[in-house]
Amino acid sequence: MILLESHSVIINDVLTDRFEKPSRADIQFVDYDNVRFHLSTPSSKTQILLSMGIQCWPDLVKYGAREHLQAEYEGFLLSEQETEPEYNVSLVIDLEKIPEGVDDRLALISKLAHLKSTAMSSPFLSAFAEQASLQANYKDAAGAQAKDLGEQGETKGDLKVVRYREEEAIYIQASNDRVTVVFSTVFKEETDKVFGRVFLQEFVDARKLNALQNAPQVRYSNREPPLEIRHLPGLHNGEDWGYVTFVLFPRHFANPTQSQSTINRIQLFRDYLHYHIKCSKAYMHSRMRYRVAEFLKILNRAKPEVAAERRTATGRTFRTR
Amino acid sequence: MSNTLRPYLNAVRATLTAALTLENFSSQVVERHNKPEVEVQTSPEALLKPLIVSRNESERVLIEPSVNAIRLSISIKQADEIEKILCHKFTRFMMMRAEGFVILRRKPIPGYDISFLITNFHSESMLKHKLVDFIIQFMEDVDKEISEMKLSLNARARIVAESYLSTTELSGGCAGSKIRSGTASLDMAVENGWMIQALQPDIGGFSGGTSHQFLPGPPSSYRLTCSNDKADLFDFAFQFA
Repeated sequence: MILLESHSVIINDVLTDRFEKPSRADIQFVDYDNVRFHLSTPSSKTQILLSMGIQCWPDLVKYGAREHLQAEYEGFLLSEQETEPEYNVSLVIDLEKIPEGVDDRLALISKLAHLKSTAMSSPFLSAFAEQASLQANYKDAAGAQAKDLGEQGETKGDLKVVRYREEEAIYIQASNDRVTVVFSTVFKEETDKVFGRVFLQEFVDARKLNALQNAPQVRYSNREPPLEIRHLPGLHNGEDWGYVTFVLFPRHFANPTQSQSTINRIQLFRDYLHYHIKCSKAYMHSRMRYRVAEFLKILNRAKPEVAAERRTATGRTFRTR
Repeated sequence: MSNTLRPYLNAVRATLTAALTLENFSSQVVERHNKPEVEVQTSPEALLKPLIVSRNESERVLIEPSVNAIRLSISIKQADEIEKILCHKFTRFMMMRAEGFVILRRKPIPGYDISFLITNFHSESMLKHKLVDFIIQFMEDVDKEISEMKLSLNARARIVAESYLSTTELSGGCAGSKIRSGTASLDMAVENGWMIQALQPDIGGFSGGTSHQFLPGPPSSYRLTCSNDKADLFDFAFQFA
């Protein structure tokens, strides 16, 4: 498995099962970036309550997450007062009212399993919308006084910050011709740091391939944050920090399907990177295990073989002299 | 094997064989003690001249003989940061298993990456020439292992980056994708159905001849599935313009 899935497999499996045959459930589980889920049937078997606790909820609300979820999960989303305590979002699925058709059910399950990515996509969507409006205004201004505006004519939207983990954040900024997404990530261990640098360098280099010319531009810097966010307070400088910048052009979010898949992919970037760093470490470890076993075999060849004691049929021993 | 490695290893082998003339020797300082003189360093007359065999400034071997033990320290080539960390991990991994490797020292001598301590008891209970063989084999293999690990890390990083960006790009509406694994590479610039058919034999060779199939999906998309462990990695859907 190279790519990570953007939906939650547990929600997917449990709901597929419960849609067939309603039964009790009380499951707590987690997803990437300290997201907690609670799936339960508090009142009856047919009423499934799915709650999600997400660390960066205050940030997401600022960028319209609740409205976005309201639109996406029309009829399922509970109001803020009814939301399960200790969680940020609650959905109620009434198994007596779900659609009958197999395809409709699958679509509904997939939509519910994408709850986390839907919530996380609101800042991206608002940045995309902002970019569109900036682009429109920019054209108007450029029409008459293109020469006067000349070089300085680059407008920027506000910087959106999503602190999706304790120390790490996503910064999103729209401007008239692109959307810039900056990830800050911390490498906790020396090995992670070195491996992370190798991986990030490959992300930068991969774009040189002809086939990937249309992919978003990737830049990375360690130690120093990139210029877009350098003015922000509380940024970390140091060997352990990496900053990855993705530059998304309007072609990456030209229509809703594209923008959704771009968002699903990009919000998992940090998990993807760290997942593969861990995988490489595990691979190295298994390799070393094998190699050390081989060395041990070679060393054991140096030990002269001890002749095993031989016995006659009656059980007497004899020695070769 | 490169031109300079052979004479280097030969020199180490000859020196080591010559130095491995050990005998039982009780401590001259403490009664009823029998310690490796090279480690305790209490009686200078029991020590012999240390010797360094060096291939270049980063690769060298220090051999410290004494009357009842020899200490051999190896400095392994570390060209860059990745090799340094891999080398560190590997030697640490081995030294944590020093119990099994009876002749391995738990800590290296400062300035070296790994040290061995061969006492007269080892050379009595084990075949001397095989011990030398082991040291030489170790020196040969450890370089190879570290460079292979580095290559595999780079290869993985490349696959990871390319598959991530290519899917992002597919969402951006492009018509082709490229996956690459080690030396095998496969270009998929597909424009219509029959080109997929044309590509099919190549993919068969790529996935090691295991079963593979193309399932025509909705009119403009095709799904490639391979039922081989490696090839499962390349299970993704194509969407073309």
